[in-house]
Amino acid sequence: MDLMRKLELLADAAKYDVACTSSGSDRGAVRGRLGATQAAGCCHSFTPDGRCISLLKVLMTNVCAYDCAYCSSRCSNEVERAAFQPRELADLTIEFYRRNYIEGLFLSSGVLSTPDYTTELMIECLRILREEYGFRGYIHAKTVPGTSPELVDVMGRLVDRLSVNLELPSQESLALLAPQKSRQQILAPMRQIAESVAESKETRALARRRNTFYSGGIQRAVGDRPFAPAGQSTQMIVGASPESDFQILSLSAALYRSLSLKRVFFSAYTPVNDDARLPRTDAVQLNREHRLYQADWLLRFYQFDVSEIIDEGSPFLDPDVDPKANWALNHLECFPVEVNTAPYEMLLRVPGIGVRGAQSIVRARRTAQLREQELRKLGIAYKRARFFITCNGSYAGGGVAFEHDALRMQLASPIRGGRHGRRADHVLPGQLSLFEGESFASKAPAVPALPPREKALAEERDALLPEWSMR
Amino acid sequence: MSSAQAYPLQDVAYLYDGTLEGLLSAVFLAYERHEDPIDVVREDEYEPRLLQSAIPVETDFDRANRVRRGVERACGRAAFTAIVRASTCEGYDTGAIVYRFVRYAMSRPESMRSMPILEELANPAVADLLRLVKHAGNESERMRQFVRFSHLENGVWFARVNPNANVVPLIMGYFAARLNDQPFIIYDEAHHLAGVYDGRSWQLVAGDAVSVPPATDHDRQMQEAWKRFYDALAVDARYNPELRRHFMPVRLWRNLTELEPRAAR
Ligand code: SF4
Repeated sequence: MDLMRKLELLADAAKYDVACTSSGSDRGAVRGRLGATQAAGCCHSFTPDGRCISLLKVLMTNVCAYDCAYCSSRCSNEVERAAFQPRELADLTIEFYRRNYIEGLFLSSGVLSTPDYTTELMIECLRILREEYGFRGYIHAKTVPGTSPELVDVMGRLVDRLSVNLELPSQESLALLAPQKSRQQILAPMRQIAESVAESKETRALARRRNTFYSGGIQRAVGDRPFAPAGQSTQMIVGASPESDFQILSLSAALYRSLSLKRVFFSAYTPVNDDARLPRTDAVQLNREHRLYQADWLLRFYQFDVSEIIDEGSPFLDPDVDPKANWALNHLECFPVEVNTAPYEMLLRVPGIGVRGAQSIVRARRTAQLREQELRKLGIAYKRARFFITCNGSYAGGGVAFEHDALRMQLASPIRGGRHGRRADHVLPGQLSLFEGESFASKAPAVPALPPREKALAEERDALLPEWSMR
Repeated sequence: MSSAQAYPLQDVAYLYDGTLEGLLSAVFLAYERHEDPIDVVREDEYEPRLLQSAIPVETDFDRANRVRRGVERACGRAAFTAIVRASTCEGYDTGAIVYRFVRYAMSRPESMRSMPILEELANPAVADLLRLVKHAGNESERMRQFVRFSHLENGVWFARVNPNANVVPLIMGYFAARLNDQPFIIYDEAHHLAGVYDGRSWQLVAGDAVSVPPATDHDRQMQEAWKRFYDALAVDARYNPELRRHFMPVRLWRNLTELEPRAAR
């Protein structure tokens, strides 16, 4: 089979995998070697549906011994099968990289004969890239469930990010829809990766610590390559099984907390197979996916706790109001806040004020009193924010009663959109602004030279261009 | 500076050659002549105003350098970096904004010195400059995303770009680092400027005429592979062209390999 056809098949089979991000790793260039990574990552193109293409995202092979209900590569499907030769794929990665098409490689795979055999093929490709070609670009690999820990370890030292797909939000659903995969098979490598990442960070920090006053210090050589310096992420399919948003968000909060995951991706279930175990619907729950990402965002950047966003009593997110506005509406006693004095944490809770907006306010108010005019310049959605703030004591939300229902009318932002595609009314309107009007988007910092923000920004962008898709 | 009029003039425009050094020479001139020009404009864009005198500025690297040192001493490196970025922007008032920023930077009250100048967001002289810095930053990022090299028969890697700010100087370092083992040229067809990296260091070459040898056969295959990959990634159910246009502005499409018309397969 010619390379073009292979590439087509194996990219097509991989496209339902989420998370084409290239962020979280900052590796400078070295003379004579190809490639570097930047913490914020880089999107090199966008698909007709507006998803980011950052990496050469392909499967090693779409041959698969397993039979997951939702997957087009499952063994019971009759599809054209292909597999890359390790060197062939390594060469293709280099060729694409030199043309600035990509930031690197995103490699996952179906199960070819056994998980270990498959992983060895993947490792061979990564080894050629890293060791033979000295490639310093970004690599994200997905482990194959059931791979032995030794191979997971080898792989971890060749990649920037290593992840394990959670696939489904509960054990029961996993048993039903992906019968060959077990919870244990998924959680064990996740734990192993979390521990290895932490340990590798620690030893490297120790080795780098200054231990003498002589200039330069005495450096102990850091022999090993770092283990997955960009950490791990995971994804789960939403809408293929009956779990509620409450369950999903509690689960992802737990993952952030206990396994230090960088990202949890949600992927609205897209029907590709006819299967009695799957919901009989043609609709893709993109709106739900969108609200889940908003909630996830609040967990990671707005210092919200899951219990503030959702509870068991009403376990699904409000389709009409975004979760942050929803919190504000239910806590009117905390508002309005005075922008010139309110603490940063409180500014973050104001609908219409994003992370950047809150940071800008805190900086700008050191030298000037902020009134409406100044505020509007700071990248906040004044139209929304005005109901929840005062500027120098004056309130500009007049004309609307300061009570739940009236304000809810003002803030309602049903997810519009859907002029295209065969599932038109479910098309995601935009990923740019997660909460209407709040600006997160800029790729370059509005204000240069603010080192501590760089990381936040990187994460921000990572989340902004979530390049989600579904499997 | 060959003006016969007496100065300082009240309503005066300085015309510079469009380079950063020219712009900083203009700033220097304002101090020298004790003038406060209303406009600081590229000479090829100047629109004369009634009763305004126009003074052509001679570009002088040493004078420009003195302005740089002055800014760095008063407000630090970051302030000068911001000026460099801002100066790449198009727009009639770019020169005037940079000029006003330098003026403010050199005359900041003692009481403000403890705070980095770039954090004075509420000051118009700073805010205007930051707006340009942001624009230049965004456009540089677009170039980092969307530059597409092809491999020519003479061994050089070549990319043609059309940014809406003169940002090639801002991105050369980035590409020269990560692609340091491949000689390349990034040619900005909008600003007629080429960044040339020879495998060791890079420099800028101004010029209109570029003759580009054809790409290698292998390169054409790789372009084709990239297009196939791009096409394979589309998910019908999510088709959303507005979103794509938002992230990847149409004005840049003509230099994007993956959006070229497809040959019949
Ligand atoms: S999801 Fe993975 S393991 Fe399951 S059938 Fe598809 S390729 Fe195989």
